[in-house]
Amino acid sequence: MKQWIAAVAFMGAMVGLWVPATDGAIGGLAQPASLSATLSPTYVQPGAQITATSTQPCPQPMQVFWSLGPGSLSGSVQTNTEGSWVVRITAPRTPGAYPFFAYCAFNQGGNAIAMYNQLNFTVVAQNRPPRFTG
Amino acid sequence: MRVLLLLACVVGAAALIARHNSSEAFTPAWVATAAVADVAVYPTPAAPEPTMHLTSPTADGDPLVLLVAGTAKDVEKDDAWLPVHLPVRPNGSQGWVRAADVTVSTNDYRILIDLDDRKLTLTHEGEVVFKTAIGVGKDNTPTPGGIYYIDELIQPTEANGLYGPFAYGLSGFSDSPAAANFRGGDGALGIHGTNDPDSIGKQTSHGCIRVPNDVISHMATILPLGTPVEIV
Repeated sequence: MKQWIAAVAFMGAMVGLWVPATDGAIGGLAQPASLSATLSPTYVQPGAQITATSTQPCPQPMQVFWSLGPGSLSGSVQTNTEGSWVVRITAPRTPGAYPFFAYCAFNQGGNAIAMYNQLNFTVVAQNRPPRFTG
Repeated sequence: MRVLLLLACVVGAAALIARHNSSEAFTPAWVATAAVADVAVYPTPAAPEPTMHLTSPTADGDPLVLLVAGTAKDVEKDDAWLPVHLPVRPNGSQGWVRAADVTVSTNDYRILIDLDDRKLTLTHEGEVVFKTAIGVGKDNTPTPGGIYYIDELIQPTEANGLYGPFAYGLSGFSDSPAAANFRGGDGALGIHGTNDPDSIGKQTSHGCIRVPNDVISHMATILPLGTPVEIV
């Protein structure tokens, strides 16, 4: 009996080690490939155009799903035949720093075949001088 | 074999406890961005009339951003109303807005400013990102303590000017008459760079927080508006 309890506890403990912390990655299973992309420009005024471009393409032609974070602007684009892609974004109106996330998948809700490293850009107001208390 | 199993149990249980504790220790801030042009602010959810109206975009042309005063649990408790910190005088003003008038997002960053130590600490999910020396208000124009949030980000056209390459506006104001109309403004506090690096670590400002230019440039790449700022 003691051995059975110990075995069950062991399985539970391993699940504790295996369960993902916060990022949704599944420990112990194959991770999607990590790829790189670029954003330009990285400092923009509200409403300006930003272009994200793959430095490393998706492994094959598929969709690229992108987002500026949970509940924020998002979209998808079909890659070129060699897997490369370009996304054009209109900068949000609210100043501040924004993350850009993207991943390759065959369809929405499907498994990520490859994940792009997080990129950042910053929306800044330039139309007025600061008047803070120096 | 039994020893190995028990050892694995202990390790696994410790991992679970550590994960549980770390997730409990940190609570993200909630940030409300105006979804309507006129956000009515009430003293309580039951009040018949609002005490003020905040417009969006603001007078400076930015979308109105408010820091939710409650925790995630408070927000979930009543999904019709949100308690918010207000970017108005007097410092510390709070009110209630209709949840339908805003969109809510979370923010994992915090800024802590220690006036005695003249240090700014930035944390993300409760972990220190960096700590830096700062310049703070002079004796006759002191930096007021309190809970604020960043509600503006400006890139001055003159990168080598008084404010350095970037300037964050805070929701708080100087209480000093000597700083009330500084540079034609309304005495709003800010966190910004500087053209006087020697002022870092000293009491030299009119109430603003001065940080090294490389630090404010780094902050501009990671901080969203609504980031809470606690000045003690």
